Amino acid sequence: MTPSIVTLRGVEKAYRRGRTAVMALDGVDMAVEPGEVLVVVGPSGGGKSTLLNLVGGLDRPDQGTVIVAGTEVSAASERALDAFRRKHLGFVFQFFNLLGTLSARDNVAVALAARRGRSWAEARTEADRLLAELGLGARAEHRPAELSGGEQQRVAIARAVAGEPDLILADEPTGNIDSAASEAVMSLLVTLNRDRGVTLLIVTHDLALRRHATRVLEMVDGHLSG
Amino acid sequence: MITLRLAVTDLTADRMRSLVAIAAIVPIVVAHLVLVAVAGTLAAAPAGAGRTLVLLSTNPLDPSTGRLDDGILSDAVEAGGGAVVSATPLIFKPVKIGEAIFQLRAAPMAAWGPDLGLTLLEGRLPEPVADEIAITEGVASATGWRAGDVVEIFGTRFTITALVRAPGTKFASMWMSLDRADRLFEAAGTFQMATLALDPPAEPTTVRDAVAAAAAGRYSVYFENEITDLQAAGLQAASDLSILGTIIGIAVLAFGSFNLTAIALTERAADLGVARVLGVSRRSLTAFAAIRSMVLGLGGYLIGAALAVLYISRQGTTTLRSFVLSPRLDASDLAVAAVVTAGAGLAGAWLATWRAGYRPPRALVEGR
Repeated sequence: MTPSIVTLRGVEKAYRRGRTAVMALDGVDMAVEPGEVLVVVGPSGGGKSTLLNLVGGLDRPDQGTVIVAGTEVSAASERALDAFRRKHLGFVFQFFNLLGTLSARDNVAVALAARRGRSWAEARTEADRLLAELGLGARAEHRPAELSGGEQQRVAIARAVAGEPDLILADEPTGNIDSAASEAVMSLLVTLNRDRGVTLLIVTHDLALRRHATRVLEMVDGHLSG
Repeated sequence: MITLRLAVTDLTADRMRSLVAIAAIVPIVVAHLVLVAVAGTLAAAPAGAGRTLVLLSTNPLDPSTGRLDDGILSDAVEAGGGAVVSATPLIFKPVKIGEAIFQLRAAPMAAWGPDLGLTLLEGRLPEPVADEIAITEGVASATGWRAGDVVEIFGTRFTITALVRAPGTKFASMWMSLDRADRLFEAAGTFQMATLALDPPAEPTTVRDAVAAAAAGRYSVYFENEITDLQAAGLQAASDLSILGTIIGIAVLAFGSFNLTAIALTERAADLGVARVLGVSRRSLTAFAAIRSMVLGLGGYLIGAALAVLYISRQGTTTLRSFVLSPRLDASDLAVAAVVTAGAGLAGAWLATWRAGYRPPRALVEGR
């Protein structure tokens, strides 16, 4: 039996708002299998983004264990987490988070250079190939501010795919683009899942994304339910 | 190499911001180098000769009541027991011209070159009995006077016939013959000061003690370098202040560089977070910030150093009150400034990225 790529056991995370502690995750257990497209839906403030941050090693749980691709990220050092993210993860953010001073090509090339140790020339060539594959070949020279929301998200996906990660974490990937662009972005993610076998963990409040999933979970008030 | 390319790309992406950052460093570098140049010239004040004795009158302030005369000088020379090779009487008087204070010095014309080391730079030496004077470069620089000008000193019009260099002093001074000064101040053959040059084989302290023993209260005896040290005490305090100013300049340079980097990184917190999410190590982020800071710092340094060198070379010799200052920058000053600029930039970049690196990537991405 193939081990799960993501395993959460008894994970708790609370944030303080003033004097009040808000339970973002309350005893969450979860497993994601390799090759899955797992969509976690739920209302805003339900704990979805917290879940993604913990899986990505961007934050640490108060209780419980988070294991991703064989690494216990809940206990790893910052240096180990840097290496872990480099090797195993790709991120797609709601607000794209591209580096504004770099062209689309260089945004992807930075990820390739950082994650796979490519030379700058090699990274740029490979970035061009990836962007062309995602239909952005003509936009490689443009900076993020010169691209539409959908185009920026596709560049972000190219950046996430660069270096062939095992797992892509997508936080509201269609939350800031129109419906036509949303469809294109989701089709792209699903195609990458099918063709490259990359596992997708997507959190969203957009129920329409459920139809792209191989499995759907719902998160409400820090509790996960199937 | 990638980090360097990214840093350069980042700097050129927003040229105006980069230029503003460089412009912020330029005045700090200029101030630092000018302070260093001034401190250097103050610290290089002449110490005077340790083999020349100075006899001072018991009333050294007023030439008209000078207490030394030829008889006293003969006694002193005789007390030196043959070790004294020359004796030069001097009259001096402070002269205030505008905001500057100069020294009027008078000595026998025969002693100007061999004993006092004056060098003629321009014009001709004054006639001993005529209303003529010579001025040093410091006076010329401070007043704009030139050879041929007629100026009024102590109610008498004198013609400047020469520009001279007086290597043994940092005081801006004007010179006339002892005879002319004697008439001007009605000194009746007295003077306030004399220098006794000693024969090299003589033991200076022994000679000084012998000359002092013959004084009988008529004069005091010092080594010339002791007098110069006393005169330069104020100058040394100014030099110390300049060094303090230089240290403050370095601190300002370091703090400014640190702040520029910290502000730039705070503005780019989300980008740093994204880089961390992509797996870029903190070491690489530090290298990126360091290169960025170095490029800005060295850009500011090059412009600042060029402006400072230009300013100092155009300024030339200046007179601060009565002190002649010739600020100079040498290669080591410029090298130290370059190292300080680069080092401070690196330190600022390192501290700023260290601070940013210890925030969780999530907080950086979310701009918190």
